[in-house]
Amino acid sequence: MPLNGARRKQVSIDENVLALPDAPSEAPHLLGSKCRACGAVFFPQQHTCQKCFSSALDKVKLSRRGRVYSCTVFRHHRRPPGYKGPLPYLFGQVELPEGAGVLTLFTDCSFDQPLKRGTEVELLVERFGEDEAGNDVMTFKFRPVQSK
Amino acid sequence: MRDAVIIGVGMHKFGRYPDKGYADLAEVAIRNALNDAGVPWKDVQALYAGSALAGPTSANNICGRMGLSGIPVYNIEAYCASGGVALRLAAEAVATGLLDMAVAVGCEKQERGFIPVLNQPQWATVQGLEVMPCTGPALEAQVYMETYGVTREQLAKVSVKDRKNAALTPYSHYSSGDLTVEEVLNAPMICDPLTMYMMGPPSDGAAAAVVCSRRQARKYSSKTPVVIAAAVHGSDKFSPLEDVYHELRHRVSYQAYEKAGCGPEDLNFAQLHNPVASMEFICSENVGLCGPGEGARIFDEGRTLLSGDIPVCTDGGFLGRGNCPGASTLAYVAESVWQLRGEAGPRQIKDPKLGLICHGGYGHHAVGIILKK
Repeated sequence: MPLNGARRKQVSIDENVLALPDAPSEAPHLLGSKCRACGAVFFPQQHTCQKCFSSALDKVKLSRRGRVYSCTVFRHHRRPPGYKGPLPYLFGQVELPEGAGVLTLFTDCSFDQPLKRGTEVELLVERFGEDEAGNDVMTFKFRPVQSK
Repeated sequence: MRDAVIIGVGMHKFGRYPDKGYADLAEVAIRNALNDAGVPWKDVQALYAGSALAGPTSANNICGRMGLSGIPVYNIEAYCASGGVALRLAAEAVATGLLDMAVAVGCEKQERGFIPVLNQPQWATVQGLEVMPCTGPALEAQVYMETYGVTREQLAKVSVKDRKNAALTPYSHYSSGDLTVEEVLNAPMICDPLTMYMMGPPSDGAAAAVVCSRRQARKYSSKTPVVIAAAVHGSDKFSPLEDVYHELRHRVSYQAYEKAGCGPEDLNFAQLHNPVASMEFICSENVGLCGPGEGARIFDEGRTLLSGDIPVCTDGGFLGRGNCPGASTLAYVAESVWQLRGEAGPRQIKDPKLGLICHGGYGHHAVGIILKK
């Protein structure tokens, strides 16, 4: 944090993938594309519908909840090329209600075991690092929905 | 259309060669293939050179090693399917009568460790979501094992079998076949469920094939020509999560069967894409050796061993012979030619007549090649 205590500016890891909220009361969303012709929904955004090849696609905010389709833990001590996060890490695919699949990191869960398939998970935004201008770079992850 | 046949194959042994470049490796493979075929370089009318990582004009550098003869030179990149695409293009040119004599070569020179993935968006790479060759296959394995009740012990046995095949193969990365199931299970865990020994080692190497018409084959060589009955290449389509990868491998292999006028039941061997152990089961299902979820069963029954009725990965594939992206499909082609000619030495299977090679290229490409004698 800067010495004056002011909040540092937050920027998305990729503005075409993750939309950060303009106001604290709003929620962050992943961005996808929905085909006007056939209704298929994609993540990340596409220029052309990959099902029917229509180029009439709308940018859509995707559901913030989905289910774990697959999950594994990367445990090797050797850091993958280009990877900037901690080891080990949990990742996999989340299936959203719209039908789109999201490749994502998981958080707020044990690294001992991968998450079970079908676990309900929700989107959250975490600080990933810092860019050259000193902004906080924010990324998306999914975590198991806490039962209350 | 006329038959395109293979009259010579050659390899540079897979392994780690810090003092060699990709062109050094490719040159050895091409010279071995030309010697096998009895064809002088000056008679080659085109060079199709595949590599994932060698870069722009690398095919010209390879051509320069053999002699700048002015022929058309094609630099092909389709990741692990690069060499297979090279063969397909050479076969097509010969079959259509465009050329009478062509060489297809695949080569790779790479660093130890994970294979660079260059085509992914930055947000995925920096978060470790695309690591080759483990993240996608590990996720696929997790789903597969849960769906069909396949165990880690069964995966470990695939690695053991492929090391044994590789130990009988003079050009493979691993020369020892005494790996045990316990050693595979206790090896460092890379990405659940895959331990280090359930993944093929990154290798340097090269493989080449000389492709020509039957008439040319008779002119140069008395060896049995191996017919390229089909050489199909496809790229990815949009698929639902449960079909990603499966659809493409299934599609190219069945297109190849149709072209060759045969089915999976007619095969005497299958050389399958096995960068990780689970993919050997999954790919055997994709190409129709068995039904969905039955890959582990036909393995446990011994049917995919060298002594079985449908031997799979006779040279050990990626898990034993090594993971050398640009060269791997043509390494399978070379192995298949030796098997069909009866020249495979201690790993020779009994009188094969027809074999399939099904090979992916980072999920974006796949080739289905059927060879027969």
